[in-house]
Amino acid sequence: MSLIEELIEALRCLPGVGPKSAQRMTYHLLERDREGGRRIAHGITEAIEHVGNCRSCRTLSESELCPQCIDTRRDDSLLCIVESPMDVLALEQSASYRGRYFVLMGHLSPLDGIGPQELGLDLLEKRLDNGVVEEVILATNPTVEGEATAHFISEMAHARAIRTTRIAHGVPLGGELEYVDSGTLGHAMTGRQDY
Amino acid sequence: MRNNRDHFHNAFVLHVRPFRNSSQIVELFTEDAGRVGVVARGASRGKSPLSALLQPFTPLQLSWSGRGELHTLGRVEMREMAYRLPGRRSICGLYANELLMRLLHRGDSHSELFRLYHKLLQELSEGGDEAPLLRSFEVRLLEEIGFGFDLQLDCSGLPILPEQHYGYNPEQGIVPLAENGAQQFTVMGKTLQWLRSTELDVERQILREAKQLLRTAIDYHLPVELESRKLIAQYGALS
Repeated sequence: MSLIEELIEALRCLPGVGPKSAQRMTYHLLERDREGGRRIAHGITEAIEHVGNCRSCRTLSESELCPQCIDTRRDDSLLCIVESPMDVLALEQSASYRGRYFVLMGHLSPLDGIGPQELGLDLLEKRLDNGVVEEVILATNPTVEGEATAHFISEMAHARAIRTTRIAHGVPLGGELEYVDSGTLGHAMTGRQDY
Repeated sequence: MRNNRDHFHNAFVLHVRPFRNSSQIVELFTEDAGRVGVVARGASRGKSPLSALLQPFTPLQLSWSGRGELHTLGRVEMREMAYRLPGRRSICGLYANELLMRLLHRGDSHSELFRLYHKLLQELSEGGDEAPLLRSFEVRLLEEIGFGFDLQLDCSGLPILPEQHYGYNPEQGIVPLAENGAQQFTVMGKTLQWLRSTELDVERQILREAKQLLRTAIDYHLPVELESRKLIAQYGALS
């Protein structure tokens, strides 16, 4: 395989990149932007080499502790459980939460061989044991596996008499009811609140 | 069987895994075609309504096209609201899914089993004790795929007696215990009789014996450790 073919093939591992776009990217870099190409190569090598997992919350981090875990202004008594580092980003952008995070890097999925061990729930258990956390906020995805994961963690918290809450699910802001899928609408109806 | 986009099949999702950029490979359990694998194009794209539909425990109606191992998913509609299995029960549901995934071959039709699976989900969502529901599903599942027990007669052709102790040997079936001393466990005849009817109101001891018997039989036909079973055990260790 030539170097060009090799690069095209390699780029296809990226999400959203098929054979045609991989080809365009390769020729663009080689014809017009070799400097940009070098930056990408350097960025990828460095990131792969140096980004690991935060010791405390398991999210992706280049230092031993991630910025959210280091930040002393955050509320230690709140612990939000999410499935992926992208979920942390999404919640941070909503600017609605100033507590700590714990990132599972997945959800319980027996058919994929993912159990409590793979999700670092032993680490979470230790964290709940140290007595600082007063509320566990379950922000796993509203899928069957996400719910099962949330429930498993809630049992862990209940065994230690820690309050657990689940984020609300429902109609998106600015949305119209007629376009919301029936599952979500059903959930929104069941979870209605006094007004 | 017709494989076209206008022919709708009743189905449940057993398992979903990501495939390529934004597609998913979905393992279905269908009423008329058994276990079927389909590719759902674009299903994991952010706001796709497909991913909301393609969840386990949801009675679906869907179509597919194409030949070979993996078909292409056509249209999907929700037939009824998804069964909501709270907490531990959802793991029981996932356990049933794992059994179906591992024990059924693609394309073997099992309409009766489909009906039983639907009933299991319904009953799990209604509350009550899950153990008799799971045992009932397990014993019928084994029957459906040709690994059932003879619950009327033991291996020597004598009728099962309620107070007699029995053992189980995968090769021979139900063995009256006097004949075979080296058994790992024993079941009473009344446990075997219960397995014929699997009424919900049942003694704990019978359930315990039935669980052990069915577990031995399933493990014999399925020499891998069931992850969902491990998970149920870990649940028990929490409280």
